[in-house]
Amino acid sequence: MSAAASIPEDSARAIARGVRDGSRSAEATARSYFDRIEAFDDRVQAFLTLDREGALATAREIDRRREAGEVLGPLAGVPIAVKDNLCTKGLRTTCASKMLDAFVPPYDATVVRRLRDADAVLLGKTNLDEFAMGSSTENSAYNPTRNPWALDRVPGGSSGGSAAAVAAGFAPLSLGSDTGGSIRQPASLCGVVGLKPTYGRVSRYGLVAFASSLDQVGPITNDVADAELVFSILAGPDPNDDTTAHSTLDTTKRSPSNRSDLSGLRIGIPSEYFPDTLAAEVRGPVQAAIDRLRGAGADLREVTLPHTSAAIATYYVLANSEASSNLARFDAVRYGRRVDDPADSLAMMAKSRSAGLGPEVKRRIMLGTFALSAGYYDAYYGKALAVRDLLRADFANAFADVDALVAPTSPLVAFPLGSKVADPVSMYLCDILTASANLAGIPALSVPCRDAKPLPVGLQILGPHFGESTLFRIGAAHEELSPEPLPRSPVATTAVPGGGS
Amino acid sequence: MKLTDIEAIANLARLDLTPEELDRFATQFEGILDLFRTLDGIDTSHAGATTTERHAPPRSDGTAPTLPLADVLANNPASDRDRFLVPKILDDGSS
Repeated sequence: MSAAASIPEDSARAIARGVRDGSRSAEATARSYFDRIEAFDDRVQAFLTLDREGALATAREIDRRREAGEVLGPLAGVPIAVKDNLCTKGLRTTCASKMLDAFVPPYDATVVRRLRDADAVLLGKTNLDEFAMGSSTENSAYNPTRNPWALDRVPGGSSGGSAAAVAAGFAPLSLGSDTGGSIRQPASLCGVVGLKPTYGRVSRYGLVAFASSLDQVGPITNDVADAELVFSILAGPDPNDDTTAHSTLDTTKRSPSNRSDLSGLRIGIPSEYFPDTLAAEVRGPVQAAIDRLRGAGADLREVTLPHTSAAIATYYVLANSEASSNLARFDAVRYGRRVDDPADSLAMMAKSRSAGLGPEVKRRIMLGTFALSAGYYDAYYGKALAVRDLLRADFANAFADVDALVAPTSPLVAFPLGSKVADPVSMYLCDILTASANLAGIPALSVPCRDAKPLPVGLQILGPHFGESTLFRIGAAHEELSPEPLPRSPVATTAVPGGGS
Repeated sequence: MKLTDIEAIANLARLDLTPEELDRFATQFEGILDLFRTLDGIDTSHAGATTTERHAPPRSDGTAPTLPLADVLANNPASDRDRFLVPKILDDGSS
């Protein structure tokens, strides 16, 4: 097997270990990933921007520092892909919007800075639904991304490019953002691991805001151990984001000696997350995974989250309201697209916004503006805030009795491109099993059910605030207990023509 | 939803929508607002009873370098030295 063909087998941990001990070069590693991207990304279209020159310069500097005897960071030489709504200094950041087609940030997002400081190598920026608004990555103003498991299907969204990049073997890890499921749902549809941390765990400084009370940044990886490693690098207070919590990392309930032993752990099964409409190809693998957790000693209990059916309406009222406010900043004054020769400043704003923003973004701004407008504020926004409290209370009640919850991540497997574009409500319902975690601010992890066929299915593990370590413990046990090896997409297992470099 | 209502919202949102977009939103909003209205039937009289507030500790005062002016202006659609240029805001009676 050629070096390039073996790339997707590598974990971020293995790459960093090899670069640190000198058994592999950061530059050769980066070149091999670029070979794979250049061979196959015309089919997947995961990336919007590649930074080959910058990445190879960074990689060469890492190799030089190792040869000089310097201590390298925990992600030494690990290639990464970053969702294109995270600011990268000197590298175009579009949010997949024509509004920001030429925007080059003057600073790095804190999460990008932390990965760079850990000696990761940034390959490029990944596609998304415009301003992270969508569940299929079809709302990108540039092109849809295709699922590496079935190129005629969506990768999910909005972090579809980041999930597809990992699933295709274009990078061993990526960053996404999750406002209502935008890390977990594409991770589920692409057969990779995705973590939405607790609200406040990870800085949003430099994340282009969509809905500020819901947004979180998190990793997408091939396995749980890589997700845990990246999370440990991303998490922590940031003076530039006052919503970051000052809690230290939670290390309770860990059992490093035996990863598959879950004895003593109480896991809840929320009945509302298994509706009659749940797709059979999702229900089967998820139920099998739950049965294996029981076999590993977990104390499984049925719990109820009675306001789950209200989550989607609540989420879309609140997220759109916040979006209408956050996206007011795109007024064509300081940055972003500006139309030529407007009559006055108001016309400049209205015409530039109309020319630069896509249909789903306009729809959400309109809906949010309506929900916040005089005469409707209490009926829509105020009501949704009150229901959000009830959803939070549901989880608080459940976590009084259990340490974590398990459920499907998505009610569906990857659906065909174009099949939901004309029906916004149908698309919004894709978030039905993920949005509640954002509304409650709790962490949630999606891990692939390795026996799901032919398309990936994600098992979602939800925990109390700051309970990420419990999620990692259950996720790692789920991997250990799985009957099959790590699933690899057809794109990831195709050898690069010519064998790569 | 009536077209005049959609136009009023578009004006508030500073969007200059085409007639086709106005028609499409008028139709689509009915279904979406029906979804939103499902919240009406939920008893929220006890909402907030379990909410706990977390307060970030205030940070100490201090100065830090700001971004260089040239970097700040680099993405500006139109600038004049250290200023953002925009079309006129007030009517000076000249047009």
